[in-house]
Amino acid sequence: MDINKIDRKRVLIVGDYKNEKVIASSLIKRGCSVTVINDNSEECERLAEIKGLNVILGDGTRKTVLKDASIEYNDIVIAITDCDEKNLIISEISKEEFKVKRTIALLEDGEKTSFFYKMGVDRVISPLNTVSVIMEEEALKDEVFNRIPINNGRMFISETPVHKGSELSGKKLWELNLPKEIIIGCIMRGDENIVPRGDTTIRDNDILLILSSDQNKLDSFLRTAVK
Amino acid sequence: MIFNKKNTKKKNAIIVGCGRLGSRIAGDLCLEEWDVTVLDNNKNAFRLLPSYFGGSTIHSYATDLDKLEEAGIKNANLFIAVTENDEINIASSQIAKVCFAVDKVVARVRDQEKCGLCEKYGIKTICPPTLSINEINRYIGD
Repeated sequence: MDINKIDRKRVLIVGDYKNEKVIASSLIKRGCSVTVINDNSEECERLAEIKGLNVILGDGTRKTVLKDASIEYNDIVIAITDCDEKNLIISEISKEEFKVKRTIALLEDGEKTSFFYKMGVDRVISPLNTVSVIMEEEALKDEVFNRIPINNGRMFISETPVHKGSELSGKKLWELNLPKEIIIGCIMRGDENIVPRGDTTIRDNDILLILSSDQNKLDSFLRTAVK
Repeated sequence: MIFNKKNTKKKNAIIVGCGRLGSRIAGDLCLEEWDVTVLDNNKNAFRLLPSYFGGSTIHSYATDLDKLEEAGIKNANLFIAVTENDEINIASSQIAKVCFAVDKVVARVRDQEKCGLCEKYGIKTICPPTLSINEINRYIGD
């Protein structure tokens, strides 16, 4: 098969040397066509040494520069400058003006995550948030229940056994009055996997697969399962 | 009453960026009986405020959500973003409009290309080059 016929993913990265170098090299290795925009001419020269990388010198928040980089032909735009606001503006322009399908922005100040999503950024990467979620996971590991954060800790999946004599066992799902942030997606009972309905009864030693968008509500629910 | 001559409730204004423009607006609004809070991430910038400025100052970055709430953005009637940086002005005015639904939001955006990002949310933009061009054209035309 002709390798050129495979539709290569086109990625545009706006950022500084360190970030761009690491991400661009790894994406090129994985077969993507990568362009970087950098506003420092020395850094551009160093970036140009990477084989197969297109380098554009300029301010990535400007439409003209983005156009030079043929932004409209890219599938993904990654904004990883050291300025949160710049990353937001780059994502907004990519979406608004050039109809880029997917934008990813780096955010130092994790408190603004929901604001960034509100402004149409498809994926917000906030290093501190990610690290703190991992730390939290490590710290809570010893507890009886475990929950896995997904999508930067905005959703949680939990696999929780129903202990003997817990408040839950013997109850039908609708009797639990679950908050709307929690869904029991599956009940594993021995070899059986049950997709539960409102009238499904929970028994001792069932394992519940729970999806939740609210960590606190999930935790308080999990506590009742092990009581 | 001495304290409330006009007997109307004071309106709240938040100004981010205490440069030459920000400090002057802050002073003017104070004279017009507004309740003004000025934010700047450089403490020395507040020296530019005129002597008759009677509002409060907060030493903070323009897009810090906690500090903006401390400044009373939830009850603000007016939000003016006039820092030195276009991106910060755009982002902070979008926070004011989109997250806190402030009634009147104004941002200084030097790069005319970026004005559209504000206007679509109903944020008023001030583009100094455009204003200057209009003035010059008017002068030439006269």
